[in-house]
Amino acid sequence: MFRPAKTESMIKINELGFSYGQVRVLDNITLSLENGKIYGLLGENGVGKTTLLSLLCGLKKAQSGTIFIDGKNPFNRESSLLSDIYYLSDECAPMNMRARTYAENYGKFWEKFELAKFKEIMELLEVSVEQQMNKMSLGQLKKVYISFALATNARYILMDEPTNGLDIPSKAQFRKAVTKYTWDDTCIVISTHQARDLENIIDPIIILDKKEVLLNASLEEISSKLFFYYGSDPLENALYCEMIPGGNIQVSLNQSGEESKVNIEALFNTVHKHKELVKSIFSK
Amino acid sequence: MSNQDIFSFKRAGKYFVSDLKTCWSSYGLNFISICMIAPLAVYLVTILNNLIFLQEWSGPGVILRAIIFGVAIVVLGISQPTRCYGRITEKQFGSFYLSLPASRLEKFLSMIIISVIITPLLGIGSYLLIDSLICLIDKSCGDNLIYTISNIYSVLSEELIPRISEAGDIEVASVMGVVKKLTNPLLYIDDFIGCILPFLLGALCFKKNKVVKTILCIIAASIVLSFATAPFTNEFPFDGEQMISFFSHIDIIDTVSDTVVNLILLVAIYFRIKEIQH
Repeated sequence: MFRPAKTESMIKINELGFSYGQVRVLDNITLSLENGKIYGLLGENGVGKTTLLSLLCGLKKAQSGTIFIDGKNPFNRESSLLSDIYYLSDECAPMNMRARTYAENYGKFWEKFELAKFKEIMELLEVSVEQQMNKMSLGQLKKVYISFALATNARYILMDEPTNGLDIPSKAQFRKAVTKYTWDDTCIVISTHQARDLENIIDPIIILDKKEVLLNASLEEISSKLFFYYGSDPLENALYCEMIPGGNIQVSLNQSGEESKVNIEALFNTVHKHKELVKSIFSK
Repeated sequence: MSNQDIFSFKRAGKYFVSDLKTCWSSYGLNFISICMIAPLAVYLVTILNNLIFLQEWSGPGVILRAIIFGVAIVVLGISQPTRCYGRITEKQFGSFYLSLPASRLEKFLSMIIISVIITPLLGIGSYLLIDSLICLIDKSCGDNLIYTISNIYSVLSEELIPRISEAGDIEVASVMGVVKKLTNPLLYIDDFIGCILPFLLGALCFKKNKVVKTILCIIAASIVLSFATAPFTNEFPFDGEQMISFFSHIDIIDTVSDTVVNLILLVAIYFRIKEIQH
């Protein structure tokens, strides 16, 4: 789906730092996120994925460095910027109202919100809009907020662990909804532990480590620099090897220039095992 | 930041309506219990009590109903901000509240209008209406509260004037002038606002035990204030004439001091909304 382009529309993070008391969570993070991409934000527990998303949507104030979204500081919580951002928290509020009432009541604050789209996505995710939100299961509640997030038509959709609580068919429906119901200039950032749930939809991939960004690269760039081999023969100089049903998945430096399908879990483990090497090859 | 980002009438209206709906969904039942069921309950319990123990049909007298009314309104003023806006300190609801596309000023104004104007007006109005209906149906309850409140000065005058005249050393007119000012219900509007605002601020600041912590803060602030003002209050005129002269300006003193405190609280609430993080 296309809509008129907005000038300067992107997220720029420069030397961002954030601590909880004495514990430094983010340190000197510099990133640029472009529109029209679905970023996968990966990282171990406690590396600051949720903190980064909270900073991006203005729920927290950057203690050092800067964040600019379309040239504006999100912590100022300007309503014009807020109506271009939707943050789906990992903890969803079970409001004391029906899903339809919730959408009617709050959707109007996002200028481009479409109630019909909300109902359509809810139908795709198989949840009734007439159900009371505080009587829903975690998965159903998550689906309401996912539908709402996509129906806002916001330029920046930030999702924290959106597939948590979803069953297997719902995860497939979620992937379908994200690809079908977003605009071509929407920037989506999805933070997750479950990389497999989002395989095939996230590109580029950001891997966050304690305090720093280990990797921020597109799948094309990753496959041009790393080779993912699916087979039983051992690879020489493999950076990472893991047994999978029917053989092994091995990751090595791509010296031949051959293309391969990126396995996100193997990539994540490789990056964690060879932090400095990966940083150096992707910073070139 | 553009003017539209600071305040837009259209968006403020939309926000106010949705805020009102959210408040009603979370506090509506409490409101009905405090302002509509409580006066009925007091009436029924008193009637039953009198029937069982005194074997007579007699409703609650005006003093009992006035006390219960006062308690109900204080409970309303304390519980409404906590119930409607206390969830802002919770991550789930707070994240949603802060990221809702409306300006801080719009959120602040809506919060103040609902907590300080709409809830008390509707609450007091509903309570007094139910009380009047009870008194209309059952004459054993005596005068209704609206009549009592609006005529409190005349009731007190009948009691006080002969006693002051008997004392002889104070001028009746000046004492009754002070009484007239003190019995004016309008004098207590800013005091009532001053009761609500600390609990609204407490609801936005404390994550747990909001009411208890707010009460403790009020006590602590009162102690600090009494120490700070001790040098001036020690000079307070205790002589009868000077006392009356001081109290003859009580309306101005009360209004000015309450306005200052309320303004400080309003600014603190605004900055809390501005700076809250999740």
